[in-house]
Amino acid sequence: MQNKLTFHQSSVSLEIIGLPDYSNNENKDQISIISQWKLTIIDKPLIEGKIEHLWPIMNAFYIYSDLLIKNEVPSYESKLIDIKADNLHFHNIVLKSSKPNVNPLILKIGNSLLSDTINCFDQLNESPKVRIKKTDLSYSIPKKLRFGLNKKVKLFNFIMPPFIAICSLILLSSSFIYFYSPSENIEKKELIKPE
Amino acid sequence: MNNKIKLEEFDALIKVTVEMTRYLYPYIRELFKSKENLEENSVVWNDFNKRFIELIKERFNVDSMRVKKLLNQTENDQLIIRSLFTLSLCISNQGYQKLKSFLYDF
Repeated sequence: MQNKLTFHQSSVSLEIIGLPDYSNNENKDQISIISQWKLTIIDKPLIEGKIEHLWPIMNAFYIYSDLLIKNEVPSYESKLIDIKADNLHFHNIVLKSSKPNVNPLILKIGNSLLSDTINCFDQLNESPKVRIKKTDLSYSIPKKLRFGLNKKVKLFNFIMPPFIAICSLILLSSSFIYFYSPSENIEKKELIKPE
Repeated sequence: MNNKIKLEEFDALIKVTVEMTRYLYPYIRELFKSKENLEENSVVWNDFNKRFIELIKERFNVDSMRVKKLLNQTENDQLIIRSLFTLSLCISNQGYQKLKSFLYDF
């Protein structure tokens, strides 16, 4: 009997199916040998594959999101997956099948689905129930924290206050949405168009 | 007045920012969705942008060139989306380390 774990984030869910490594005396609910995975994005075709496809796809998403954040040319290409920015809000994903004569799957997702997908991958990475061989996953959190700390402190002092201030303003503005009441709008519409 | 931020203060601000981002993630998504489909759902984005500009005018020095750039509609859209996207990737358990790394690379 295979174990199944599902990671959800808003409109995206990632299902991992596999077995524990009994030779390492692992718990029966652990997954170390992943046999299958499924990535479900609402309103998009199901993406599934084997373990050897999962890590390159996760890597592609992580590298692409890094490029987006750093304001570099957001484009990633590999044998398995291409991701390119359509504009500031949409991204085109081309998933190439390893089987011959199978057309590539083309998806267009917005920033909301992109962040949901990466957050699902984060949950998988952080799950204590799934053991990932770190050698399989070449992406890791940038190692810049290890060195250059002192040299960069001056730069932080220059950049951080405005960045933190902007983030705070964005979060404060986001909380403003609480005051938006859709029911008022509905009432207004009813007044304009009485049935 | 000393406007330099101490490392401990910087860490504390990151922690607060990550906690708030986790709490506000659904609203950040709504902002993305609103901007993705502005013709059908512009209310959320417009309210947010209006409040964002109000807060900048209230709290920032609007005579500064950098702040003026923030008030420029075309430039601030890109900055806001990038900042929101950065925040939206930092809601996991390791969100604090991720945001810190992103900021070090900024």
